[in-house]
Amino acid sequence: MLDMRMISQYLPDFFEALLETLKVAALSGIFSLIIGTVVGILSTMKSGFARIPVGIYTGFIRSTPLLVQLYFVHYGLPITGLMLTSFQSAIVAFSLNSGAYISEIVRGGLIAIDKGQAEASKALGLSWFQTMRKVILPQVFRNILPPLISQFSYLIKDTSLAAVLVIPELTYTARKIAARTYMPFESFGVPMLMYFGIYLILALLSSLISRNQKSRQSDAKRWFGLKKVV
Amino acid sequence: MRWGASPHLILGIERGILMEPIVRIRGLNKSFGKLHVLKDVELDVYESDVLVLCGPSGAGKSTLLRCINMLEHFQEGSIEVLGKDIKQTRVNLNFVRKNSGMVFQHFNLFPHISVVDNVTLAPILVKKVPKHEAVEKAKKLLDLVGLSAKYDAFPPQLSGGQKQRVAIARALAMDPKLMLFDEPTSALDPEMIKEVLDVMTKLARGGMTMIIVSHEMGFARQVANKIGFLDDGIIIELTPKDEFFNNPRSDRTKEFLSKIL
Repeated sequence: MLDMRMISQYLPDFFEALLETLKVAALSGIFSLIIGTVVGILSTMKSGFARIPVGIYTGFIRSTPLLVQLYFVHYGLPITGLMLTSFQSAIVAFSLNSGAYISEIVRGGLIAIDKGQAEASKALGLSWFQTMRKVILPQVFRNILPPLISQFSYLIKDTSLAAVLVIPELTYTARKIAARTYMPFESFGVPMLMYFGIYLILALLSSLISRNQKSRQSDAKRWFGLKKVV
Repeated sequence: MRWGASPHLILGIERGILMEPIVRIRGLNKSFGKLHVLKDVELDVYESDVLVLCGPSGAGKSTLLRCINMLEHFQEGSIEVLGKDIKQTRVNLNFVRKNSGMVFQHFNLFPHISVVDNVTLAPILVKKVPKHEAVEKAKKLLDLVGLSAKYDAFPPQLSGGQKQRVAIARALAMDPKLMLFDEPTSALDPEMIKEVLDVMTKLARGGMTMIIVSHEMGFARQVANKIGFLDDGIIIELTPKDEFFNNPRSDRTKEFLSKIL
């Protein structure tokens, strides 16, 4: 049933496509993290000037399909004079989309930090920016790491939609190979395994990090416990 | 001749006229919405004063303290700290925050960095002290508060009393001219209160100017030189310690003292 010869013949193409998928995902991931952090901070501010546009942005992104956003950026925006290559369009759409979700995660993380942290920083003379960078955000990112990683795994799966813009990533390549070989089982099976592989790596990373955090705490506990006994 | 006859008078004049107060509050009014929490508060605090603010909860003690470094904004009046009007410019406010230390009821240590990093963070970021100097100084301060063994511990691993002593060391690392304590022992187990008060006593004996919001009247009696009694947003009494305890002027103060002593 499984045609190994076909798989090994097209494996280089699949890996090339995997690389393209990773490229799209990584770039969108970085940009969406930046967008999400900035928007998340803005959404916790008191003034309506910052909060209202931010609310419109996240509300709009979350209530419209990603596929339509992708089409809109690539085929709709050129009317306004903004011509993007399909690769650029994909990055813009994925970053804006994922950024909206990440901003909600960051917002939640910011709200969870005790107000006393900012007060102590102010009283010590730290500027707002120093407080964010050295005191608040490190704590926020430590706390939101699990939801953040699951958001990234959504993003990686979502990049398959880039196939509609003819970007030679995994899904597009799979469709092309399927059409050429008439072997859809292998053609789509291999990318599926590859997506699953990326997910596994991410999940592993996530559990490793959280276990590392826990073990560091329990190591400390053990150490202090021992000291007491001695 | 009168001058020579009364050295106390001269001292008084020196304190009143020649010495500038470290904190000078005039006509301070502060409201939270409709709630008027501070009413025409006037206060002078001089160098090496140890002022304990006491009074029933809701009297505005903490709010008054938090106005001094603008953690709380106020509507009317002026506060000068170290000769700078904190409301006038952002530069003044930053100067005051840089040169005053604050200790909170709930410690507010930074839980994600080690004890040493907690103490060195502000000197390195705000005063641009080289890292090795800041660390050396942090170790000295941690020795001073009796926590030499905990340099590399993280705040969640410490007891309440230890956390508060780290918080004091953190504030001292900025070489403050003024220390503000906002109910520093209220969140502590009775056993741990003493270790924190001992550190504060050491500081007071060393000549630090301190304003302390506290219910620890025993501590006030030992260490303070002035007591301020607030009720309903008004400073009812602001007197030297002995007069406060032995000869309170207002009935409200007498009532308060009879309940707590």
